Amino acid sequence: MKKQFLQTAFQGLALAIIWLSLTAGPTLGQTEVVNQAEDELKALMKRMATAQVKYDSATLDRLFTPDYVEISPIGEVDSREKVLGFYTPEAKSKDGGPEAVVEVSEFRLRVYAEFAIVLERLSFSTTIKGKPPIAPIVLRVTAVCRKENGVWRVASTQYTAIKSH
Amino acid sequence: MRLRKISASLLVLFLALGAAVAYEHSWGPKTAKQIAAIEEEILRLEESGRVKALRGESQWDDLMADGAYAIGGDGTVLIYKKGQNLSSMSLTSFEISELIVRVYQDVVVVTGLSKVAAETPDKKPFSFQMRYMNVWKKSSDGWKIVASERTMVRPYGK
Repeated sequence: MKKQFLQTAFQGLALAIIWLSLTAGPTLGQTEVVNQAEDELKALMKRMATAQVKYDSATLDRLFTPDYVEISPIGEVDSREKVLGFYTPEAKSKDGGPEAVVEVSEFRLRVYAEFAIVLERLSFSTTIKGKPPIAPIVLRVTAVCRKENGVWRVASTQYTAIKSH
Repeated sequence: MRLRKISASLLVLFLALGAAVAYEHSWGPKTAKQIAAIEEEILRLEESGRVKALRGESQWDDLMADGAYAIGGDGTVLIYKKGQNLSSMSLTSFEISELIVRVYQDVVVVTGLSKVAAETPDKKPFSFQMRYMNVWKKSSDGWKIVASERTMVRPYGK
């Protein structure tokens, strides 16, 4: 009798564990997944912004998905190749060798498994040698990020100028 | 013995359910036919949105997800709430073109160009163009926009 009771109890416990692993398990683990994704995506976005101000097309090449598309602050659609072309050393010389710093704020995030939407406010302060500092350019960016082989990459961005009120 | 059979059946059922959930979330559409069907569905929804905008409709629950990010042409962020009344101006024309649709599992990214014409209250016509991006996500109640952004199209130097 006691043996049968223990057997039934054990089976019940096994079923409860299976049930929890299928229902509560993913919910409990989701917070950790989102927290990890947040850290990774913040770092990804920071690397992208830094690479832009440093005209580092090699880094951007690693951060973008193969089908990356960008909508610029003037509403143009730029292909991956075109965007990488903006950030070469030659392009920097052509632009007068600007030195810029970028301040990132107002980070917002939505994670959908292998996809994420990131919003940020970017403030670019630029100086060109021998010229007065240019007024900061403030942009809102929406980035669609995708996980490829366990690594987050940027698949799409859109930049919109934030008007000062 | 009977209990053992029931337990085994339940175990198989739970595992099958788990596998089904995992498949749904991990793989999504695989074939070109499935992707084409999603593209068609999203384009139909984009057209539905165009018509709503043209009519100046204020209820967008059928197309916008609760909590969706909506970035306006001035860079402001609106977080859409279900049942929210989005006031909009009355338009005389609203065209969309240059659509690029990219399907990724249960997420679709659409970019396009919208050409808008309207009139001021004193009947003076004006028009503008906006480049937009809509990110669609499939949920239990169908495809909904989870993020959108509008950028005014303007020539260099302006």
